[in-house]
Amino acid sequence: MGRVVNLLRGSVRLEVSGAFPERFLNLCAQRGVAFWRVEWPEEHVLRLTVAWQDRKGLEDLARRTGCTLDEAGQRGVPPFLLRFRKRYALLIGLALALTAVIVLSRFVLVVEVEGNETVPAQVILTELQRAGLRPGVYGPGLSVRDISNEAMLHLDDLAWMAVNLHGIRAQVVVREKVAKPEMVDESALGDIVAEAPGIVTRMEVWAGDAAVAEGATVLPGDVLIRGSVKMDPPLYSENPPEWMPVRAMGRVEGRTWRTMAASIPLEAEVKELTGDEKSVYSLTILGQRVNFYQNSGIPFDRYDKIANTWNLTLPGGLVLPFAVRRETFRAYRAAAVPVEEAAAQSMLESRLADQLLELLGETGTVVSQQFSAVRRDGALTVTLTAECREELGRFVPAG
Amino acid sequence: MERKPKKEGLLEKTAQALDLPGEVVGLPRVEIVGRQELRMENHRGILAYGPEEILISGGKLIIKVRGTGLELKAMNAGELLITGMLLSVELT
Repeated sequence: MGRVVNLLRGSVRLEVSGAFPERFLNLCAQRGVAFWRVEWPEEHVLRLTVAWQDRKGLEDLARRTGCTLDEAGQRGVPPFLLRFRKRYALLIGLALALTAVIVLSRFVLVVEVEGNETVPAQVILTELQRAGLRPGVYGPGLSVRDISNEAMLHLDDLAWMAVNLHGIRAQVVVREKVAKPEMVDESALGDIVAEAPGIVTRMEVWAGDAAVAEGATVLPGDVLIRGSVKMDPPLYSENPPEWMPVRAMGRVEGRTWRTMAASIPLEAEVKELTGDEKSVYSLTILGQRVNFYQNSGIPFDRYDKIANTWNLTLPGGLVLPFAVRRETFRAYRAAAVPVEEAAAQSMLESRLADQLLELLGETGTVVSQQFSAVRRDGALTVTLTAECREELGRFVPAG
Repeated sequence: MERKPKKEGLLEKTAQALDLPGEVVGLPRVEIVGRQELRMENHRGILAYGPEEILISGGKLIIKVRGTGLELKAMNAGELLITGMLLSVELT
């Protein structure tokens, strides 16, 4: 413990030379100057250690005892810090760093959005920026309630928003609206008609009258479930039967045969890099972009633009609003190259299969499918023929 | 220099007459703890110092401390502490 205290307060090793160095020791004791590690290496030489703060005035004591005083070494924090006394650049840097910490902590440097799932964070950030919250804005001057209210006016998909300022970080917590379920307008009357040609395999009528039977072949537009219910008159009545209009409801499943085609040219135009490229740099500080390239143009007719951005990131992943951006423009020319037929056919088949699944939706299934490929007029055409089971009916309002 | 012994003599007599402890009236007091530590109050300063011998002024008397590895551990105007292997303490 004593060593730690001595290290913190600092100490000086002194060498006292003279006829009676013990007098110096006695004077130190009288003056209340604490000393330790006393050594008497020679008859007229005395070495001792005193605290850093007691070193002043000891030369006067040495003079009074007819001794000479030499400093043999220094230890501890105060002499270490004193080394930097004349390092002005370091002191200026330290002062600037402290100023930067004090001043920059008053500004918002990071805006974080939490709680969004479907609304992109960038959309929310853009609206907040319009409302006045962006990296680089002076934090104490912000009215977070006004900002969140103004941003909410333009964000229809959000139900709630709160802006919390934590020093340099603005935390934006949002809650999204729960999507309203799709409502079926049962007041609209009409029929269910066939959407695609096929053979009806299953009928399930919930409202209305079945217009076809299972096993029937239907064409697009044929009525499958009629939106009117026949109401027979009472027995022995002479009145004709009446028809009550309803909204036809039900499910009609059937087998269908789908044919789809897609083609691709057998010669494709590709980019061939010429080797010429140009890079320009820009700096983004607190949302303000500084271009180093002014208005210099791009000397290529056709080029690819590749942008790389390096953000200043603190340990822990906090991204600060300071970034360097490099944009590289690489010149290219168009060149025609033959397309590999097998790969092109495989790609088209895959796309057609995906299109078919999308067309059938969640209720439809593919029973069997086959592809055929034809090379014609410099293009490869792939045709898909598939047998499916799917929902045939589609509601059509009367009128 | 002539008045100081008179004063101490007077102090000793006063202490004896009033039946007071000597250190109360400023007489040196030496305390030895085992063989490793010597404390002294009311000293008048160090006269000589070395790892084997330390001479301390006690006013009228001189205390000669002999030993090995002697070290003046702490000292102020009235008290001092010597550590090391003490072999003898001699009053002259």
